[in-house]
Parts: sequence; C-alpha cells; structure tokens
Amino acid sequence: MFNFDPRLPSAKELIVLDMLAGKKEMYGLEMVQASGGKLARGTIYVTLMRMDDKGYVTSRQLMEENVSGLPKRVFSITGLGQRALAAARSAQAVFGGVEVWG
Amino acid sequence: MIGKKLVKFVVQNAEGFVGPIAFEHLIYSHKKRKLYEHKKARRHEILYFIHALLYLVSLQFLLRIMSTGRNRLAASPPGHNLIEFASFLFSKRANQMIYLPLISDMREEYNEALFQNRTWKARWIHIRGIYSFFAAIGLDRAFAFVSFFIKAWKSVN
Repeated sequence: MFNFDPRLPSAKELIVLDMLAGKKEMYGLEMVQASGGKLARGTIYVTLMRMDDKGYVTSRQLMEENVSGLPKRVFSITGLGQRALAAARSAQAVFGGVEVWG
Repeated sequence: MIGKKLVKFVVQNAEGFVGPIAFEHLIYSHKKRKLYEHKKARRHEILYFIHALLYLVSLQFLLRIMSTGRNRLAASPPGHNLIEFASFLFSKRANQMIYLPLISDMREEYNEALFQNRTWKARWIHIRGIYSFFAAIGLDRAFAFVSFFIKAWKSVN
C-alpha cells in the first residue's frame, strides 16, 4: 500500500502533520476541533487516507469500542512524515514565510 | 437542451413540486397517458414518480430527525443506514479508514449533545454528519477518478 510520493505535502496535509508532530496519536474529530475551522469533518479522513498511502502517517484501530459502538482509528506521524514536514518548513523559510505545498 | 426543458417544466408546474400534490399529479399524468396516450404524459409521469419518491424519503428522514430526544422509543443509532450503504458500495479499507471513523465521530458528538440534554444540537449534528458523509464520498471518488486518470495517462505515454 506504501506509495512514495516525492512532492511536498499539501496545505491541509501540513496542518495535520503539524498537529501530529506535537502529539503522540490523534483521531479525526480531535484534529478538526484543534484546527479551529481549517479542517472539515467531511474531508479529514479522506486526507488522512491519502497521507497513509503516501507514507506520511500510520494508523491503528483501537480495539475497545467506545460510546458510539464503533472502534476508533488513531493516527500518528511516521519518519517520512516528519521529514516532509521539516522540508516544507524549510521551504517556507526560504521563500520568506510564503506557504509552499506540493 | 434537456436541462432547459426540465427547468421550464419545473417552473411551469412549480405547485406540483410541493409535497403531496406530486402524488395527485402522478395519478393525473398516469390516467392521461392511459386514456389519451398523451406523448408528454409519459415524461411527466416519470418526473412526478421521482418527485413523489424523493418526497417520501425526505419525509421519512425528517420524521427520523425530529424524533430525536427523550420520548423516542427503540431506534437504530444515527448513521446506521450510512454504514450499511458504505459497506455495500466501498472497499473494506475505505470503510475502515474513512466511513466508520466518520460515523464514530458523529455518534460521539451526538451522544455528548444528548447527554447535555441539547436535543436540537443533536439533530443538527446528525444532519451535519450526513452531509460530511456524502462530502467524504464525493472527495474520495474524485481522488480515485483523478488517480485512475493519471495512471492511465502514464501507462499510455
């Protein structure tokens, strides 16, 4: 399933990577609430799945069912994701704070 | 061309598109077609049939949303039908990565709102959850289409 994509992460992917770099594991709703309106409920999991395909994040399903009756899926950043985040940050620094994404 | 005709038809028959009147129109156009073999009646019949069906589905949906709260008896949890729908249409991976976590999040917010006795908020979360679900489907299918197109383009060149 791993499919290396050498492009820089997109703007939304950068927000996700930024959040995941600070925390150990997060799930979709947590990210949406923490983003302050930058991420949407309808698109977050599609973005996360694409990032999983690119190898930027990894996910695991929590075994215990929560109050919703469905198992939760939590995401964490990978080494490649950290490198992509660092590359995007340095690219932003080079271009004087202008947002740079793939 | 067809779009223009459809818009003209809807505008001319606007009153028929308000709720149960669609059923009357459906019966009328059916009779008209049977009796006089009217050419347009067939098209009208199909359109009013679709509208009557949509009306029934939306009515059922509204009743379902409105019955959220304390007085509700036994019912399936929100998103139950959406899970069935997604598991029927999409791959296991897409279900596990996108649709199940999406419904799980919606239910978490929904239950939290109900726990705080905020019934209207719970209803709003339910509607928003359904919208998010279909937005996710749209985005996922769009990405799938684009990646398929790119792969096909690369294989050709």
